[in-house]
Amino acid sequence: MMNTTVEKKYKKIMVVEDDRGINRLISYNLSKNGLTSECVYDGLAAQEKLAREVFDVVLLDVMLPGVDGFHICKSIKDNPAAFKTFVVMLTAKAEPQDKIYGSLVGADYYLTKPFSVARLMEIVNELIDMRDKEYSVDTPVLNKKQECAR
Amino acid sequence: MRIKLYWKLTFIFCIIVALAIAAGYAYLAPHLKSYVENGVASNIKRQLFLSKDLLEALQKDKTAPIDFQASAARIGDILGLRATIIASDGKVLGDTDLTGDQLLVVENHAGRPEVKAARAGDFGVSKRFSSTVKKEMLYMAVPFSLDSGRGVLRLSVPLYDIGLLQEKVRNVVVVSVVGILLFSLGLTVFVSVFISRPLTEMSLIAKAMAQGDFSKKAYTRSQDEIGDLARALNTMSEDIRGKIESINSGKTKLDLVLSSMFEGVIVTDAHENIIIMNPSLRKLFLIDMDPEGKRPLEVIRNNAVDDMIGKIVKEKQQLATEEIVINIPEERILKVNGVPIMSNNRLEGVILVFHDITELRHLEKIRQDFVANVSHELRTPVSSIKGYAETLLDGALEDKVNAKEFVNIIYQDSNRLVSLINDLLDLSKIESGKLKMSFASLDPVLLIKKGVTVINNQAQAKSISLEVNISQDLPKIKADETRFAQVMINLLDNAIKYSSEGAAVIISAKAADGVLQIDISDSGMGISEEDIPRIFERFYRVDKARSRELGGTGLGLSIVKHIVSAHGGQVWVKSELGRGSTFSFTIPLA
Repeated sequence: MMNTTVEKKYKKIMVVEDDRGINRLISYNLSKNGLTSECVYDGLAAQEKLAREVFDVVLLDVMLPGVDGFHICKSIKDNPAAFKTFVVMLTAKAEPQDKIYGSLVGADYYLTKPFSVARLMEIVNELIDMRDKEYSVDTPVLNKKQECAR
Repeated sequence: MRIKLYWKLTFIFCIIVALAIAAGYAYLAPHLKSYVENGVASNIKRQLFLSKDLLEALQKDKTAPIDFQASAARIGDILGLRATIIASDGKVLGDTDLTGDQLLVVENHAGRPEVKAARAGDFGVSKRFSSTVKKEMLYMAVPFSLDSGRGVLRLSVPLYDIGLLQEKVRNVVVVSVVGILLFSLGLTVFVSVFISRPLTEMSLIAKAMAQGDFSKKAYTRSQDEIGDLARALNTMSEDIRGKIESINSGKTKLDLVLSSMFEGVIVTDAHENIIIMNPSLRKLFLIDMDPEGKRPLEVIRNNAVDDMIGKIVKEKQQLATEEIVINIPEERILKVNGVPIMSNNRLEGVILVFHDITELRHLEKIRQDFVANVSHELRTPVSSIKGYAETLLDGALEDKVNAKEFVNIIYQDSNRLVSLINDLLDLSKIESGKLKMSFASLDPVLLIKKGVTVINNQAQAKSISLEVNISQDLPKIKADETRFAQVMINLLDNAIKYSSEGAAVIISAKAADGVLQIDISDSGMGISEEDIPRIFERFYRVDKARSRELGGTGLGLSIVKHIVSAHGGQVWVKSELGRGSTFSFTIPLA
């Protein structure tokens, strides 16, 4: 587990997950890592929030009431104001075509349920670190896409 | 131009008869004249000698001198000829055509050629112009002994008379020839009719056969070739009728099979012209024209079908299978199997069979969606269990504030998994028909009360009152006790879950039209109109989050629907948003 640093608290993370148990699980583990997050339980609420604010990382379920996760991911990536936002898909949709679709709409990571909490925290920390070091967004994202497509 | 056999025969016979008669006449005509002339001449000659004998006999009777003029007149009268008696010096002693006075002045006949010849020998003949009677004459003369030496008896006839005779004979011949000709013509017509009539009759029968009428029979009494032909025609008619009947019955069977087939069938010949197209295919492609003899593209207007036929014709592939999609009037997926019809290694045509697999594909899609849904439904609670367990192991166990709650979540989600697995097993058993239902005649009052008792604790937890408004003497129903209870519990469970605390759930029942209808009404949140048709679908939830919170699997109503259907009943819902819902189902009476 990564060190908790004071700067991390400034990063904005949104968890979009309709299962309250899982939503709670993720926020609990994020806060344990010194990260605060906003919990959203349906697609429409997520879109409303994304229209108003820019997040650093969005953890996104696919099968959501209202608007599905793939659409939300695409609207994030299509929004010039939010181009720095990392999207981690977190979904029960585990078919190869779902993963390909995820990479097509621009997801940076694609985790299938049941997922490992440790792995999720690793990814989130990595992305936050990347943002901290002010890396150019394009290069790692391309790499991540390749990893995701694999 | 078509000439009837009758006329041909008549014409030919006429020509033959006419030629035969003409040939006969041509042969006879030149002989006829000389024959008549010779006949007349020899007659005159015989009469001449007879007359000579008579004259000589008269001379021997010396009692009276002979009156030569009277003798000549007498001989001429009897014979119808001109007789002349000439003395040895050439002086005319008597002549039929001359009077006594004329005799005295008549020219001496010694120089006449026939007289000369007669005096020189014993007979003379001559044909010349008579200066005495001014006519062309035939003369014949013979010498006879006269007291005063040798006289000459001469008989003559005008050549004109012989000509007349010849004319008469020829007229007789011509008349008889014409008569024979007419008689032959009549005979010819009769023979022609006799020969051609049976042929005409048979030709009519053959024509009738060609038009499918086999009722007529040829008349077969004669034993000749025509009789043979008639018998052969009759046998052939019978044979053809038999064959046509067997072909027709075969065709009827084929038609029957093709028209009662659900699959579409099209048969073409080797040139890709349609021979057969069955009603199912016409219906599938909305074809109302007569397709026989036309090209498939013209009739079906589908390139894929046309290409397939072309490919089979070209490649003579044993079995070609393709899936084609048509959009008229609605999207349908068709599986097309095609085979070439081969006879002695030669392509005779192509058969295509169209199976409508739209429903099959639809079911497949439903099944695939269901599998994807099941996977999702299982993955969510498992993620939660796995995630919380991981979190607890990772140190949250020490977090006394949250640890108990996390374990509680694990417990709830494992319960969710258990009920999900149970529901899935139930559903799969019901759908695959493996669920054994034992139907019995049961009292619905007891069954309803039992269901209410089971769910009562759950209702009491939410202070919900279960009101059972049923008459105590409902007729018995034919039901499986356990499955009926499952339906009651599922519906009551839903009613309680979606009702607010302290509300009432009303259960009522009535028997009508051979079924018992049970209604379960709540005053809960209700269901929106667009959701109503879908709530019996598997995993369809009006409010997913709420359903999961309440421990629903998304399969309850689907199971209810299946069980009620298996009983032969129906299930439906009436609902109004914010006012509550009434779920009703029927079970047949025992």
